Amino acid sequence: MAEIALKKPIEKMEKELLNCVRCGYCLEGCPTFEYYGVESATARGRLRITLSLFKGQLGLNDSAMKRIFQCFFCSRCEVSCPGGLKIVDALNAARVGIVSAGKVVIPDNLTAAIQNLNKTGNPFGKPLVERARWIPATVTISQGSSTVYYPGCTAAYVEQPIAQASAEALQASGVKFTVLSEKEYCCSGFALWSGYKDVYDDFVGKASESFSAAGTQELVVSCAACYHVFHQHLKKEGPRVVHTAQFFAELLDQGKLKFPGRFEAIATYHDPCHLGRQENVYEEPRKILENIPGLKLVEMGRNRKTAECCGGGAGVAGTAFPIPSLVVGEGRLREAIDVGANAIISTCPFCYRILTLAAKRRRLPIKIYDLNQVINQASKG
Amino acid sequence: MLPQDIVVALGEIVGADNVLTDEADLVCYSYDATERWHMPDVVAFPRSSEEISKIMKLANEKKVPVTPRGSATDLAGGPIPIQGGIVLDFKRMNKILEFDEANRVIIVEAGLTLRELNAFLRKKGCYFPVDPGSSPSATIGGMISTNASGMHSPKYGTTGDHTLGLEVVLPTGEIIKTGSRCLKCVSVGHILTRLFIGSEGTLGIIAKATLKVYTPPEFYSVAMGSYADILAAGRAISEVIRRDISVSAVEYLDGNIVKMIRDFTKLPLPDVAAMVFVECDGTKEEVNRNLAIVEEILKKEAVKLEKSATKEDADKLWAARKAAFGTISRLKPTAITEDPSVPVSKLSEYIGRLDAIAKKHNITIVTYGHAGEGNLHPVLMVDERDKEEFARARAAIPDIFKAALELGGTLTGEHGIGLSKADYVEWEYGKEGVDVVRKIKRVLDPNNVLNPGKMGL
Repeated sequence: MAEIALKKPIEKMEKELLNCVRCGYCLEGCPTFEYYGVESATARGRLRITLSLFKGQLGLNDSAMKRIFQCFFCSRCEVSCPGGLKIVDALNAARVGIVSAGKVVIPDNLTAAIQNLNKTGNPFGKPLVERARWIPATVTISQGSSTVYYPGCTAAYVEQPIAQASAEALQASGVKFTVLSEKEYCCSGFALWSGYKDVYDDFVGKASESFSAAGTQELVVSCAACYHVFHQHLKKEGPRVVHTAQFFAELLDQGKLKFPGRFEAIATYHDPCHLGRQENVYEEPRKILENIPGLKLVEMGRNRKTAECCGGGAGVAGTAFPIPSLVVGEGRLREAIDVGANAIISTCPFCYRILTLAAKRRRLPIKIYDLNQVINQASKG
Repeated sequence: MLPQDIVVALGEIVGADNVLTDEADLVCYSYDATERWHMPDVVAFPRSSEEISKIMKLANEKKVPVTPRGSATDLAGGPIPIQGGIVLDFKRMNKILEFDEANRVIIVEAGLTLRELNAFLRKKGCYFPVDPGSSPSATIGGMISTNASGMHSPKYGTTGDHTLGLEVVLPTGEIIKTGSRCLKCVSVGHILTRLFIGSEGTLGIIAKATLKVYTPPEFYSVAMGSYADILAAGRAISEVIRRDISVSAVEYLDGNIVKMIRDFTKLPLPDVAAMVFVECDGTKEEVNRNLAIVEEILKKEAVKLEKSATKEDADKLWAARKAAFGTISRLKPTAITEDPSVPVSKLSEYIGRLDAIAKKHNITIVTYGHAGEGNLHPVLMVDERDKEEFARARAAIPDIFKAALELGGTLTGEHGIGLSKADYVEWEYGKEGVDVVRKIKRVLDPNNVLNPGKMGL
């Protein structure tokens, strides 16, 4: 039974697995290959492990599972792959298969986060009643508005200044919006990318229902991962899903977003994997930053399609394998420092979190910001 | 499975953290870019020539096969541990040891990738000019072991042409130095460096290399001719070579692959029988002068001719050619790519023979590649899941080799012999010729522990 459960999700991706010609192009820029330095930590290797599991040439042991779960899902390999393989989808199928086979995912803190999600509705295990506590007194929520601001679990519970800055900046631009507070469900991308597809299906379904119930026409999301999940899930029907970077770029074009204030920094922009490679949103955040008085934008060598992952690894690697995540994050920060930046700005609370932890760990001379924080400061006179 | 004492001994040499024994890891060292595979028993990551030396002594003592491996982008099976045993991964030997700017020479460890090398050299205003298709990942050790080359070989030759010296660990563990950092060096008479270039890790393990580096050309430009007739394309290529124009690349796509690329990439490519790309590089003046002659030759029989004015234009024209590999890999994952070379004057005849072979065996063969050296890649478009088709393709391969040899060509222009062509080497050099290599192998590797089973050795 376990074997059938393992193989069923992988079967759908068999063509992707067979289409890998093992040319090795994917080794370039793979953060886990750089960290672990072994072939089994590359896209080519992981696809082979998956294929071998599928063909029964390899038993499902801890090592195989670890290699599959170590992947950051940053999709950098897909940029290099000459065959255009959907590598992340194939490896996600392997994760779903492994979880379906009843194997306990390693290490324990990943399963603990999934249990938290099931129990409390967020991976951090925080009480639901605290979900809207981030809302500052300065912000007026327009109950019943068809524009919904969605901060996502990380900004709602852990990195609250990002949610607060987003809301304040929306208000400063004259946007009337509401938040769903306790009726806000986790996007559960974290569950999907951890292989718990049933948990994901449940949550993303409930989230979609909650948007419908609230009459949402426009869903404004400040988290790159949540944006990716909803943008893909609600593509066929549902509200217009927009990331705050896109939304504020539109407001800038319409003359509704103004920068009477300044943000003094030599800053570089870090493309989150879920907003950049997964959604092709590259220029909007840069356009905003270029318009902010006092801010000089510099680019890292690896930017846009070839941007290095922050190390967060879709939340999964950051939770399950924290040290590699922090080391990769440190590498990204050093790249920013090397181009003369004293600030690195991202558009994902999880990137913000990992980069902040990595900077603290090595006391690196660089400040970490979310784009919404920068916008908010510059919108204040 | 290797006895545990060998694994323990390996761990003592390279450190336990530099040894892999888990099946999930080992399966990732079982392959290269061919369809073959075989599991190793253990993978070790040496960090110095001395560690490699100790491993080779251990391997001789225990009679265990050792297979050196760079990034395993090989297209002939060279890094596959076909008899199991130990795989040596050079990922942890990737240092730049010395950059001798005055002499334009660099000394590097074998595991350094070409990409890493050029990233370093770019900051110094230099580059290494050989660019195999696998250049994002290929290691210098692997490139020397296969004498790798790429699209720019009409002007820049092969990796071996720029390799001045080596540090090699012999199969029995001795560490030797060959060549020097001087451009001319005949100190021991025999050019020993050449013995190891292209030897596919069968005669020694390359640990360090001394390479010549260059200033990148300031400009390049491309002329692209489209032809309604394959033979006309062949004639144009032959004429470019016959006129001895300084060209940096001459590439070819047949009509089948042009159509496949057009469908896959949506690039606006014409519906033609063949396309020819010619690049010139150097100063702007040189490029314009040379490309004008090329243009004149190409347009004689071309139905369409395009020429780039800027580097960006040139890159756009190159996009079609550069999409060939990806397109093939996407459409037919187990496509078999061969690489015999023929004299350029015989290209048209060779292409005709390939067409006849495809018909005889009822398979699709598409052809593209490095026409300037007569080094085309006939690709047998098969899917291994279709057993009958796969068998027909296998039967067609010897016919391709025969055709190339009959036209005065050679079995392999750049991919090497490895496992894929081991059975055919005698066709080209005869038993006596191959015996010379076997004798050298026996002297250097009496226990046949280093990459056994490759190149028919």
